[in-house]
Amino acid sequence: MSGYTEKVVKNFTNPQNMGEITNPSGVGTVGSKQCGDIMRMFLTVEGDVITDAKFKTFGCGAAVASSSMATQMVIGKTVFEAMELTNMQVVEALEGLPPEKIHCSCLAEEALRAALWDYSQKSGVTIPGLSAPDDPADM
Amino acid sequence: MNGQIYFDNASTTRLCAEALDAMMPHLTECYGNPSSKKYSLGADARSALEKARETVAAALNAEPDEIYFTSGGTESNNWAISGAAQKTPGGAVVVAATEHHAVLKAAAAQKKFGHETVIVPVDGLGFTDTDALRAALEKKAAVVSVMLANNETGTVTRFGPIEQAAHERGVLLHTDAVQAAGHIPIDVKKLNADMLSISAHKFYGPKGVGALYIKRGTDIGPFVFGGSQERGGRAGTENVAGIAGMAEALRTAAAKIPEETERLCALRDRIIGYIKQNIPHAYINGAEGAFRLPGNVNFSMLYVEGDYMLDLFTQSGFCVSSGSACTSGLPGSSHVIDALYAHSPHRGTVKGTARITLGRYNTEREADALLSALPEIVKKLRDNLLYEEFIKSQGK
Ligand SMILES: Cc1ncc(COP(=O)(O)O)c(C=O)c1O
Ligand code: FES
Repeated sequence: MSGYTEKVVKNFTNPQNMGEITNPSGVGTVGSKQCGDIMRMFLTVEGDVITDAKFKTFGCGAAVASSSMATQMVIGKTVFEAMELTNMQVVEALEGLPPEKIHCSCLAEEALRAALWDYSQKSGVTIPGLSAPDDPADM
Repeated sequence: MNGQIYFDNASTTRLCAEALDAMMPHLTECYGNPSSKKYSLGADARSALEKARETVAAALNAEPDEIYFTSGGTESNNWAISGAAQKTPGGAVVVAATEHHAVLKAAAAQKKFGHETVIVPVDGLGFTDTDALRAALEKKAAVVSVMLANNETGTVTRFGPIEQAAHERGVLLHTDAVQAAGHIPIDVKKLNADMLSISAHKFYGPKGVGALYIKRGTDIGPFVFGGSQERGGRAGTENVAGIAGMAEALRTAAAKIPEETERLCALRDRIIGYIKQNIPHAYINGAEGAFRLPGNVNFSMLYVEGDYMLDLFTQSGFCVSSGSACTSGLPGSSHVIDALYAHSPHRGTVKGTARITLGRYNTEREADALLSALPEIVKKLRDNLLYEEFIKSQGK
């Protein structure tokens, strides 16, 4: 009907974990080079386990669905495990996205990594493979 | 919720029964080639074709020999622009900023033949700036093309001053009436354009068929080369079924204009009134009242993501359009909306735009369904980063 799977539609008409965390362990904001949209992700980390994740976005339905799904997928994971999450795993969990909407799922992955980076900077915990995100103001 | 409500009638319309009935014989037993006049199968096709020409002409107050059948609005526009341009070497093609791509790109394509494109700005409601048009016509021009009604905003052109400006300078005048035909009265003698484009699928006729009106005595070049069909201007065996369907569709639509205008304007204005009263930081795009197409609602919401807007309308069961989703890099941005906002304080502000176009088969209940769904859609749209920041920056 719209090129979206039922899972995608469910996750953007009734998104999970949309909102903010006050005093997050890590927060990151990224922008998309393709469409100019923005994603912010908040994490609460206890020990090295992500106990809460929330997001706020200025994005399309696919972006909302991707971050709704990504936050659900990382809660309960360690920060090291969360680091391994890719946008394609999110797409798979959503049972697919139209090709022109794949870039929207990248926003979720990149925002998660930006939040992890912020966490690692604040906590001094080194997460292998993680690097500083691009500044959204540059895009 | 599950059934889709079709509110995208500016994009295309459902074929009406009258058109289908007129087409069926030509898709079945009346299969002759209109050029094979010697036997009755061909002669019948020919007479259907010429009858359709008379019907289309009558609906526009034109003469039958001024109607040339084409494959649709895009082809008619392309023919008008290129056919006129080639008659004035070195003359500019002068178009309004809000023209359909079928005009803008046809104009741009004339550059390689030595015709520059001059784009005339519009005001905040979408009306062509007549002073700018006059200024543009101080240089040598081949053709002026200003649409009769805009496909995105529904703004209906004040044609008189444009006609004067073009003809004072002796420049050929074309109008893209694709959105106007069958929806508002058209009288080519009063308009006094030299060429006018229509497309059947916008007025409940079939897709892939249209016409170009060319005023008697207007000298433009041919468009498709081959046989002598359409008096050598547009070669190729005619789409007889499509043409017969178009003629019936236009006759039917033109007859219904008075009642449909009243009914659709009432629905339109209810939706517009709701948006104005209930959605903060939302703006209606285009003109009002008689200067707006009866079924057109077009609005922008500041700090709303355009694609998300469409996603939510679609999932709520409404077929609407973003105006021009596929035209530029950024979702939701359209050259028409940008042209209207050129002088606005909200120029350059991120906004989502939706076009809701009502038609003959839409009911009051469907409009009610939209109004009941809007609050939830708006709430979801506003729950975003940029709108929050904007509200904070307003000190609220
Ligand atoms: C104003 C205008 N001109 C031209 C066209 C193109 O017409 P067609 O689809 O018949 O080629 C359209 C429709 O898309 C239109 O709205
Ligand atoms: S189009 Fe920008 S996030 Fe999907």
